[in-house]
Amino acid sequence: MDNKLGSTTMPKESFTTFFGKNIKANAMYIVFFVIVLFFNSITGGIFLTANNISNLINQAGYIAVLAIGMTLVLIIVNIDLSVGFVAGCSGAVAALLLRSGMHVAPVIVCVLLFGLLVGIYQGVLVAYVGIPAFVVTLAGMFIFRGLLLLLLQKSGTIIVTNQFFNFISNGFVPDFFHGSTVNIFTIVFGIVFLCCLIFSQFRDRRNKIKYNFQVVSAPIMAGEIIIYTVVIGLLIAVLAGYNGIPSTAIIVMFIVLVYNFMLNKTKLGRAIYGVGGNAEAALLSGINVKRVVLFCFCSMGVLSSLAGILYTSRLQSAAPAAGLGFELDAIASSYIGGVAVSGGVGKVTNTIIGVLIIVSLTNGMNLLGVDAAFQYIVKGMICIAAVAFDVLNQKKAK
Amino acid sequence: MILIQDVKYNISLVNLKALINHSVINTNEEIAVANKLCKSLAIKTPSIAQFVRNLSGGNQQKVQLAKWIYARPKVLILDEPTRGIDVGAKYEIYTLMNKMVEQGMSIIMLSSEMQEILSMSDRIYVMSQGKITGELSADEATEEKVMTYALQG
Repeated sequence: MDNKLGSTTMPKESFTTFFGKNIKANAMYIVFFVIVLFFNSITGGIFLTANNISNLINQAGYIAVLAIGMTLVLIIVNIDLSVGFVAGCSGAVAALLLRSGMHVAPVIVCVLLFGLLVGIYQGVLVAYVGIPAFVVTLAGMFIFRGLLLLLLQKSGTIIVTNQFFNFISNGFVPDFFHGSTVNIFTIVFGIVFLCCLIFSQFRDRRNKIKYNFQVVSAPIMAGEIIIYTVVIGLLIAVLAGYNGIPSTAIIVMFIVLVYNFMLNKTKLGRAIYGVGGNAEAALLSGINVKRVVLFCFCSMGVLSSLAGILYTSRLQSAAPAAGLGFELDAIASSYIGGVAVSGGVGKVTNTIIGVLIIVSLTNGMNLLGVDAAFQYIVKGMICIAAVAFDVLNQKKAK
Repeated sequence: MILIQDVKYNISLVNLKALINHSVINTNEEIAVANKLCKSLAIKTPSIAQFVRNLSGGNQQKVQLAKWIYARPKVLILDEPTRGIDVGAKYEIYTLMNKMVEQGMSIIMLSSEMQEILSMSDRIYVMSQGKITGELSADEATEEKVMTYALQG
C-alpha cells in the first residue's frame, strides 16, 4: 500500500498505467465496438445502415428502461424476476384502456400507476415483511403472467390503433426546422449534446486538478474526446440522412439523465450505494434501509410499466406472449454493464452499454439469420462471461 | 463503513444534509471537507478517492472517526476505538479524542484496556457481569481499585 503513496505527488498518469487500469473499466466499450465491427463486416455493411440503427434503438428502448431499473435493484443486492410479465401486463392494460376509448395521456398515467402499485406490493413484501426478493418476484412472475393471460383471455391479441401511442416507440422526433434532404433538428441536437459532453469532461478535469486528484494526461483526454466526437458525429450524420432521432432514444436518454443524476448527486443515490455496499453499516449511519429497498422496487415497477408501453407501442399490439424473457435481457445487460454481483457497484450509463451489447447481438444474429435457439445460448454465455470477469477481478483486488 | 466506497463517500455519509443544496449534493464542498478531515486526522491515503477497503485497519478506523467528527454529535460513544490497530495510530486517535472533548463534545469510551482507561478518562464506571459495580474519578483511579470493582459481584 505504501508504495502507492508516491502517486499523490504526480497527479498525471502515464499511458501504460492508464491503459492497464482502464482496460478493466472500459472492457465493455471494447467488446461493444468489436461486436459492432464484426457484425458490420460480416453483414456487408447492413448492420450500420440508418434503417438498422433506428431499428436497433427502438429494439433497445424497452430493454434499456428495464435494465436501468434493474441496475438499482441489483446494486442493493436484490433481484426482480417479474419485470417481464409486469411489462406485458402493463401493455395489456394500456391496450384495453385504449380500446375502451380512453384518451392517450390518462392511459399512460394509469399504466404507470399500475406499475407503481406492483412496485409497492413487491417492495413491501421484500423490505418490510422480509421475504427474499428472489421468492417474491418469482411468485410475481407467475402472478403477472396469469394476470396477462386473464386480461387477454376474451380478446386475444389486441391491435393498438391509436397513432400517438404507436408513435412513442416507432416514430421519429419531427424536424422543427423543416430541412429538405437532411433532418436539421437531429444535427442541432447532436452538436448540442456533444458540446455538453465535452464541456462536462473539461469541467470534471478542472475540478479534479483543483482538488489534486489523478487525471489522465492531455493526449489521452484529447484522444477520448476525438473518439466521442467521431462516434457521435457519425451516428448523427447517419440518422440525419434518414428519419432523424427515434423518439424512443429521447425517452431513454431522459431516464438515463435523471437516474444518473439521482445516483450521483442526491442523498437517495448515496443511500442506495450504501445499502448495496454494506446494509448494516448503512443502517448504523442513519440510512432508512427498508425505505431505500422499497424505493428501488417502486422505481422498478414504474419502469417496467414504461417498458410495457414502449414494447406495446413498438409492436402496435398487446399479445399474451409479451414479456417472456425480458428479465433475462435486463439482468444480463446490467451485469455486462459492470454491476457487481456482490452489490454496491454499478452505473446506469454503463448499463446502457450493456443493453447495446445485448441488443446488437440479437439484432446482428437476426440479420445473419441465426436460429433463436443459438441466440439464447450466446446471450447466456456472454452474461456468464461478464459476471465471471467481475468476480475474478474482485478476487484479485482482495 | 462501506468498504467498497471511497474515503470521501464514507466521511460525508452521515452528515450529507450539511452538503445538500436544494436536494443536490455539492460535490466540490464534499471534496474540500474530506481533504480537510484527512489532513487533520493524518489519514494515510493516496487520495480521498481511494477505496476504504484498500486502507490499513488503523486508517479505516480513522476514516470512521472522521465521519462522526463531521457529523458533530453531542455525545460520541466509542466501543474499543483502538482495538487491533498499531501504536502510532492509537496515539493519534487519543489525541483526536482529546481535541474533540476540548471542542465541547462528550465521549463515552468503552474499553477493556487498563492503561487506556486510566489515561483517557475523567470518570470511570467499572462493570462486572453486566452490572456497574463502581464509580471512580480520574484522581482516585488506580489499577488496583479498578480491578477490585471488576472482580466484584
